[in-house]
Amino acid sequence: MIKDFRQAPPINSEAVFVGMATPKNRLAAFVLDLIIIVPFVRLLQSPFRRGMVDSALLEKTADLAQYEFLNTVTFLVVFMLYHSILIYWQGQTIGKIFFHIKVVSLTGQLTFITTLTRTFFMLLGLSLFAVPFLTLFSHPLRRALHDRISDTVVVGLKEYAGFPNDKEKLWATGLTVFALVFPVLILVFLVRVVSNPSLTNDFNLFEAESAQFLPCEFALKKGQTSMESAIELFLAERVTQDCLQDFAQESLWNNQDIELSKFAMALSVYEKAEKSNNYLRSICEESPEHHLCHFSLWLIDQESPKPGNSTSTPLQLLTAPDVENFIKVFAASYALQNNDFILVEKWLGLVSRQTRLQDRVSQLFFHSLLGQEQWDEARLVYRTHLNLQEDDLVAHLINHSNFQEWSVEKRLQILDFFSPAQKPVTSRMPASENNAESALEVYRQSLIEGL
Amino acid sequence: MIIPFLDGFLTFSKAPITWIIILFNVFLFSQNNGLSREVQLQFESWYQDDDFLQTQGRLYKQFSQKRDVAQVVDNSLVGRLAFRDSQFLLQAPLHQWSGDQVAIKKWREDVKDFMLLRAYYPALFLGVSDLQNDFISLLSYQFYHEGLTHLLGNLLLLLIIGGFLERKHSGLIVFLVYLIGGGLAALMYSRLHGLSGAPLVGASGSLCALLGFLTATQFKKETRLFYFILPSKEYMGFIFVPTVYWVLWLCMLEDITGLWSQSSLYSGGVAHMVHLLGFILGCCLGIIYLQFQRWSRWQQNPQSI
Repeated sequence: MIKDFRQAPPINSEAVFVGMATPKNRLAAFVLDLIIIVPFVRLLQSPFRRGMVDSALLEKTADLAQYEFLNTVTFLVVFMLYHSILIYWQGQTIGKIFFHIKVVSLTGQLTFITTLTRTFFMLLGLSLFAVPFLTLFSHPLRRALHDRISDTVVVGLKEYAGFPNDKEKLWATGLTVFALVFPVLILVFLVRVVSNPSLTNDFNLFEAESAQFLPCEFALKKGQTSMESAIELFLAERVTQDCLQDFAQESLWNNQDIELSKFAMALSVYEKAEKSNNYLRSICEESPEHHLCHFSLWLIDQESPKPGNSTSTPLQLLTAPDVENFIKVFAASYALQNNDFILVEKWLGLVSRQTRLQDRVSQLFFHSLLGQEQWDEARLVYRTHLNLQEDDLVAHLINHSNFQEWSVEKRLQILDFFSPAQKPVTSRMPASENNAESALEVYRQSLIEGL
Repeated sequence: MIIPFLDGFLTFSKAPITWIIILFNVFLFSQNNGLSREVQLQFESWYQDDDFLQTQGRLYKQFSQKRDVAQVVDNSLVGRLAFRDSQFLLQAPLHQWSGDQVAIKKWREDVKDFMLLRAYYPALFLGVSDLQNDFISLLSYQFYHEGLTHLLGNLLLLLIIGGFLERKHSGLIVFLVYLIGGGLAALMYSRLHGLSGAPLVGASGSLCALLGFLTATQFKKETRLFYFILPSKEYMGFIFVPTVYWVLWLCMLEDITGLWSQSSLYSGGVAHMVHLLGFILGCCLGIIYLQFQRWSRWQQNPQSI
């Protein structure tokens, strides 16, 4: 192997045929040729690459495809011309000169058409994952597909390979068989997957599931669909979150239907609590009469009473699948704010499914009733609407902030009222407040131990 | 793979000035890398926040006078491009924007934080940008690198080329070509192309000046390259090629290609124009040096020329 290109024989020297070129030398010559032509190809591709970046940025898909095509064509043309012209001229590319190998025609002089055909089939071989090149290890003259089609051989001028031995042939055959069988196996697998009824059903199921959402551009049309309709479609799970978000965002940036668009934004980004709350607060600041907004904010404050700490996601409640239930719970909570307990009970009674929101409103309802010492109603509420065990309820009562504010006697009364299964606490202790306090502590401890 | 090898990796005793430049680069990098990484991590949070980028993109479309920017469909991408426009970021809190006021309010707060953090970014106070392009930064940018691969790539080439030139000529020549070539390349770039908010850092411009000097002084003299074709002893080694050929083919062609394929909307992360300007300046310095040598020879012995 030469270490210096100056030692290479001149291009027009009379080469002596000494044997077939080694596959390794052929590969090395090919790699060197690539190293040489790639910078030139990249230079010629420059305008197309610039065009590709521009069309990708401007989302001009037709132009992008055109530039990609031109990019590929440039490489193919330069590759073909480089190999064809140089091999036609002297039977050698620069890589072949460097590694002392040469293309020789078996039928006489090399013609340009022959070298062009040879290069074309070389590219074809490359595109077939170089499988046709495996015959270099099995053919007696070490010819690949492109050599055979163009009736040429590649000879080594200084170093050459002997005839392929049995081991080489075995490897080549094995690899060829693998290269042919592997795609067939993949094909068989794909056919089986498609024809397998259970898998097909899964695919269909998936399609059916996604089909409930209408295509965004079809459901929400700019300038035609109102924001109310968009929100309704979202709540009815007919359009996706992203779809509503895009629609609301466009509307906001075009300064159209601002209040509803903000609400739509709050709904569509409810998973990002902070962002969602920002939109809600903005509506509340601008529209003091917006009930839904204030109710939502009230919920947020219930969840995170510390000012400025609104990282919870109560808006998830607003998008619960059962919108009808949500409205009933909303009505109940509205009635609760107005201390209309009959109406609260009515609306809570109409709720068909236990939801977090309902649980929350029921708890508030329950505590309001306790605050007004309406024990029977409170017990009814916790039995009907709150899914709590008796001990849970007592623990819940003791730990509640309102409970601590009441007098000890009242607290004991409540505990006796809500724990009829146990012996009344009041009968076990003297009337003095200190003792009552300690009795309450004993009671609390017994509960904890019981748990 | 073919890379220049020239005289190889010279030791400190053979190329002291080159080594001092290298060590100074390493020192600056080690001093600022920790801070740079911390700030970069913070920056990442903005680069990945799609809401922030979308808002910034929409606002940049309102702000920018460029027609091309308005045509870009992807607002997040425009938002990323906007980071390069310091004027936009500086005017952000004061400008009256129209659109989604909730998003704009949040964005304004984020931009304020971004601009505060930007002041701690080493590449900004050591590099050349539209906010800082004074004489000191024209010198300091040549010694600061952003990232280990950037540093190692440049310094290995500096050791090979700088070491070779230092042995052939002198350490002072290497130092002057490095400083003058790199500094003038950035200055000319700022005048010809204009600077952006993305700071210009690294020794690449200075290295190209050294390459230009090497080309001018060696021109068709053969210099050594290392080639690696296949992972086998027989397919790797050294070759000697006329300097001008390999410099143009292996180094400068890449920059010409990069410059030619640069989109008007997005210029990428490599300042190809600085490389080319550095190379041209290096060539000019090399020619001046050769003429000076010729003149001094003539001074000593008028018969020699």
